[in-house]
Amino acid sequence: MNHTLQTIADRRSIRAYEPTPVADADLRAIMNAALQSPSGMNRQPWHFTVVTDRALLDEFDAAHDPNASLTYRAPAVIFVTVPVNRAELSNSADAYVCGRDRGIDCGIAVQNMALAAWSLGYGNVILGMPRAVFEGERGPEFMERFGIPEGHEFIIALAVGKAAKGKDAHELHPEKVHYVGQ
Amino acid sequence: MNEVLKTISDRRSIRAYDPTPIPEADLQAIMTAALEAPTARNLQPWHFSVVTNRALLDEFDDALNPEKSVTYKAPAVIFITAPVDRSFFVKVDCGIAVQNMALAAWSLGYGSVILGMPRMVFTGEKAAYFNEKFEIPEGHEFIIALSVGKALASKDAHEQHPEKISYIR
Repeated sequence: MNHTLQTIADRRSIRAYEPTPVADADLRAIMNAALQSPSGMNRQPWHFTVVTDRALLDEFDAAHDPNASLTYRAPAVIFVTVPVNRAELSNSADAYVCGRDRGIDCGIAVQNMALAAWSLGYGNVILGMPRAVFEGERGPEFMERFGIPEGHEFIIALAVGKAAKGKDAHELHPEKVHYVGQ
Repeated sequence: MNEVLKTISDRRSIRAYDPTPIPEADLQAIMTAALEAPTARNLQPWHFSVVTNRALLDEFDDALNPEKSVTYKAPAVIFITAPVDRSFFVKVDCGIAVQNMALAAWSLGYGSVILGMPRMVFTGEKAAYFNEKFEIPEGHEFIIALSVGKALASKDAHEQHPEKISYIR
């Protein structure tokens, strides 16, 4: 198995981290992988906000649940956002990509980051729950404090850091693949 | 740069393919990478239809545009579908899975391109016909597809936009 296939197979969703910061060169390599992602019609609709201010992240977590860390106390959390669905493009090919497919674009980018991080020795977990904070009453406040571009909405996030524990792989379901040959 | 970072960096969207079929072992490795993809709450909402019947794919392409191959005449096309009306995160889940496949394919020496346009056929008048031919489960809708094969052409990397990253320290 080559290193890419091995990394895909070995990656786990990590929910406990060492507080040690992610080295700057590694963080840049992870973000470079994000920028290299393909996107529908090469629109690159995303913005990546890389937050390493753990005190700020703790405040964010507490806004969701003071008794649990939404971002698992990871030393770095990357928030992926895109422009809010552009209603004015609703019947065009642009809306087709910007609206319907931006979730796909962001999924591609977040997995590039997850695999890049894993290949460099960092655990990570993909997080959808931050949406609850961004949609809550303190949402605008955190949008501003994270410097998320005006008019963007949250799609997905990635917590990254040295894993403090692992877990088993999820069960594979080969019945979810059908082969349609000659 | 390690091999994974290099695969991510070197991958290109390929739009011309050698018709040679993909060996079974490689196709299985690519599909294993798909099944290994993480999903929200581990729901694994997707289904993958791996179509290697090129005559059937040509018929599919013709349904969209008789002048042009929407699947770029690739020897294998994987259609990813999911139950209608699942949460928004289904799109993210399918994006993750399709990128796992694209990177797995590239690491094994195959080009690929991610395709959103097949949706036009699946929402058109021949939708039911192709849903059946491709063995897509009842109640599923098309999300995204991947064409895979030996690349006959390449292209430059897309321009990168580092201004799309902000660091909050």
